[in-house]
Amino acid sequence: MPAAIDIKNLYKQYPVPLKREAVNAVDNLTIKIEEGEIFGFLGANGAGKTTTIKILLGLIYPTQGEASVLGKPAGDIETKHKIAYLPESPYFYEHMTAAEVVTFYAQLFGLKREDAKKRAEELVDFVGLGSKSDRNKRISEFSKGMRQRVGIAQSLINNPTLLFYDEPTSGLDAIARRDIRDLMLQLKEQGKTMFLSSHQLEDVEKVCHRVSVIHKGKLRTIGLVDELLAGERVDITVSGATPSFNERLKTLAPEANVLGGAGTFNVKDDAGLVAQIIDTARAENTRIISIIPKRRTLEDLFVNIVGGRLTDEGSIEGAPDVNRVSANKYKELN
Amino acid sequence: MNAILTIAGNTISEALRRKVLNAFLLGGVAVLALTFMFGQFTARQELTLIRGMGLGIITLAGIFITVILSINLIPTEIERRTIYTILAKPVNRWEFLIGKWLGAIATIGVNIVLMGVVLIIAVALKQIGAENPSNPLELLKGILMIFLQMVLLCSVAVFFSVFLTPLVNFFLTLSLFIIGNMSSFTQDLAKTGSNILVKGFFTVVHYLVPNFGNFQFTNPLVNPAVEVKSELLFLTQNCIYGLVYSAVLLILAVLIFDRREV
Repeated sequence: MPAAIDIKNLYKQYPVPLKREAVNAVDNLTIKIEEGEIFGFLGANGAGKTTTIKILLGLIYPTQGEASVLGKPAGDIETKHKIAYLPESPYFYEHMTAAEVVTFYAQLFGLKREDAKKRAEELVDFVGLGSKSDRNKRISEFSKGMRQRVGIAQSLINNPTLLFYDEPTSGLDAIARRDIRDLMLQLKEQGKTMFLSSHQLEDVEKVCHRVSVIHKGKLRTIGLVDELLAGERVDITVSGATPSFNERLKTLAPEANVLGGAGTFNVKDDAGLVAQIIDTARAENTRIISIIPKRRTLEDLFVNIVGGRLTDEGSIEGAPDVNRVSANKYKELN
Repeated sequence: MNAILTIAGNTISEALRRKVLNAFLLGGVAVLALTFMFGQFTARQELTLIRGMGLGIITLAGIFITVILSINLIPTEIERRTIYTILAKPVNRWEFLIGKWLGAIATIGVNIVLMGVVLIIAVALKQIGAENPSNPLELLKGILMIFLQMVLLCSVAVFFSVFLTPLVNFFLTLSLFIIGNMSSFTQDLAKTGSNILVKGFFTVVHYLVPNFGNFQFTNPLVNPAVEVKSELLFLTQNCIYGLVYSAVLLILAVLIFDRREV
């Protein structure tokens, strides 16, 4: 069975006006996504996420490399019967109602007007825009969250196998974000394949099976969420720690410290070391309350890879701009 | 075909909501109504004026409606990003382009027909009680020719809209319309030019720029002394000319649009 998405050595260059140079929006990208996978495509604004999605949809063309979707070259019309796309900040015809927008897109799939209307009604209800007041509103009166719901509704018309969601929760308030995330979790339960481009790390962490980080067009890391976030430290909580336990603990893990008789300390995630601490606690009549491997967050991972914190708006705070600083300075900073 | 008709239908409903088009339509209808102000002339002169001015006003309003609508057809979809969700559906780029063109043609057609109906009614009313009244429905031939002229003008604007900005397109399309209406002039310059370069330039212009002047049918309708030998042949030839020229422009537009990044 072919991969849902297969990208091989993909490049997209844009010429710089008045210069004989080109900017790499996508730089030698290779990714394979299997069916049924929810794949997170992480990166700051301008990292190359939307460019990659546009290439996969056939809206723009790669400078070099190959991209296939559901076993067919990117942009194939037949494949488009099985896929869906929710663009970042989706724009619709402002004079239409949500149901009219979805009916319009349903007709583009070849549905007859009556069938399209029926499908639109179902989907408008599904995304929570079925109330009487929402039904009568035009898109121009919709909030960003409501527009995003319309976007999701239009993306489900054809019961797609593969969904491309570009920043589906960007710029939404906490409640709208949670609702959209819940909708994505429902799609995950249904076994859909999703290519989720986002800089909302929390959403990606909750929804995705596998993630990749793209920065300045280049793939920086890729892997299972659990693997990538597996921490290197373990939190051990004890009570009734005796002074001799504390003494022996200092020799095993000098950085660990239990003040008073109870507390939590943090040691390296090393099976041998943890076993030694358990034995020591037994021997010294100290009770172990819990041993919890410490998970990293995607935020930590991102900071490690990119060198800066990702803001809610999708820009990077504190990261050196490799385009602006010299190579030596960049080395120093890292 | 379903996708083309859906896109065309949406283009019509969107265009009819644009106030600028309604303004031209209402303006056209209002000016046609003003043609009742020629009371100082004889009945025959008044009818000639109403027919001539009426067709002229329809042409002028038609030009502005056509140009303003057509130059924005594709760029607006790209600028508003509505094109992304459409082309992500199983819609070929050629279907999108033809759908938009068809929607524009239908909108222009509705506008011209509305103005034409007003003119025909105005002429019919003016002829009540007149001796030897002419058939006001004769004006339909002139209105058809104006519509065909606008179909061709729309195709020119749509062709340029796939690779030019609306502003450049506006001036270029209008310029070509003016040059295309001076076909006999460019033909003369092509023959009598001062040197080979001038002759070559005007020959190219004469054969490349669509001959919008071909569609002029006002004279035979206004002036009874002007006769067309075979009206049917004249109308058929111009229909074929307009449609073939439009088809060629649309094929070229599709070829360019197919490679364009959106």
